[in-house]
Amino acid sequence: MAKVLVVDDSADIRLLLSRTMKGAGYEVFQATDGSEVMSAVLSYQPDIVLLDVSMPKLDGFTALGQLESDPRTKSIPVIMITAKGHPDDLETARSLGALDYMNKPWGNGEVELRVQWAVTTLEPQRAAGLRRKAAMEASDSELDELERRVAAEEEGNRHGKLAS
Amino acid sequence: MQSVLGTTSVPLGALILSSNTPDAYDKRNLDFMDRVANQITPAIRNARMLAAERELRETLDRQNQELFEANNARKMFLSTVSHELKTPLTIISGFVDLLSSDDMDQAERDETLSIVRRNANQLDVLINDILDISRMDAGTFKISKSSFNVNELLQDLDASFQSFIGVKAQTIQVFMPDDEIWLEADRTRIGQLVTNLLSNASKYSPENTVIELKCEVDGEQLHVAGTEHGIGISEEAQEQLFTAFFRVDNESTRKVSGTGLGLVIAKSIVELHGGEIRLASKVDEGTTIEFWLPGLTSKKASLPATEPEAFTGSRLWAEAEYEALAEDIDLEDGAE
Repeated sequence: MAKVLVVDDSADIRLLLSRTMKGAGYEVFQATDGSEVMSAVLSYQPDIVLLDVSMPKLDGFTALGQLESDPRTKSIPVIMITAKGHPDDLETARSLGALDYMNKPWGNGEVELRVQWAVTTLEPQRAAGLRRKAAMEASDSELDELERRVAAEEEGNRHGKLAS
Repeated sequence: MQSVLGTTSVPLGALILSSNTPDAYDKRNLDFMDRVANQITPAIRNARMLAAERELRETLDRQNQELFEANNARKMFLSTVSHELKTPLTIISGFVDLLSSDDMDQAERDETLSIVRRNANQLDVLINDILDISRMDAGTFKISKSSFNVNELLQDLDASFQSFIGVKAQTIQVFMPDDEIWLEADRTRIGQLVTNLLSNASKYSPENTVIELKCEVDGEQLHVAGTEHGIGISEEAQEQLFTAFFRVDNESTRKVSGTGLGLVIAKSIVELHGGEIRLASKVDEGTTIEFWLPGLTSKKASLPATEPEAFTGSRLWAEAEYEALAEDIDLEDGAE
């Protein structure tokens, strides 16, 4: 059973999302503020986080930034949820690494569909992309190392010839 | 001997030389002084123009800054209103979807319906606040006075008080004289005013606390005071609380839903009645908001022929509001 972490300061919204996601077959955990996100993610190891933007202590964007900058939580997909309706928020969410972005109020069945799409399609694609990028970086690093060795050997040979 | 600075029609000043010796200055001296005056005049003109330009620039900068701040406040307000409207709307539509699709037991169904009702009430209050602010902007925020029993009004309002204090397990302690108090005022608006003050008090004080409501005759006026023992408000923020689109922004207030319009509307209601509203607060100790209203009457003899409309605090789009909205729409049509 896939695990969802719901983060919102409104108890009613948390209850609504919990019931909705439980009804769709997910195991649901809750946090009430952005300041609780990191510890909740480390404790529950969710497959996806539904993260509200406006929260009293620590807003959702800052919490997302914390998740993305920590290697232990960087790979956890996050869907941001907002009621502010500010066009810049979508850009901010994407630039910080959110997988998807949802406006309140959402349509009937929209949350379940987006979460399912994120968990089954988007996240595997993103993970595969990250693996490819890591593999390419590793290859680049190996190539650099080889080039460095060859250059060192050539330098050594040149010195040897000069000495003889 | 003197030379005019500027022109004789628009003089800037004069150069004057005097001597005790008769005929001390000849034409040569006068010509010299005229030449000096001609040299000085443009410099004085330039200096005056520069001063005027600097003053104009400072005025424009100040006005720009004021516009910038007003624009920011409105942007922040719109963002807050968007959040405050969409959150209850999300909750209502989400739970209605669940009600229609889920197989809930009766307890869950009752809980869901109660959540939907509470959020619908929240929307109702917010929409009415926005309409009131619009009416204030348009100058159509009016009161309709009649004579009513204040003791009865507070009893009628009790049900609406319970709808918000019950959620936080708070209690309201009412201090009220046994003698009836009669007031010539707008009963609906006074009900809105008291509900507004107590709703604010409830929002900003912790669970399981007591909110005090004191109502008394103070000389020729009705005095009402609502006191809560919550987070309090800093002196700096107190100055701006009665300003439209301002809301104290800190961690504690962000925990509480609201637009900051409540006190602005409260102040308008009090002032339309010729009264006075005051706020006293200490950080971490709590806040008292109190108002004084003239218009005390001695008995129900001055009751109007028709009973004033009762304020329920939780109705949705009552007839009076439709009428007020229709008036607003008429006004807008007229403006076009």
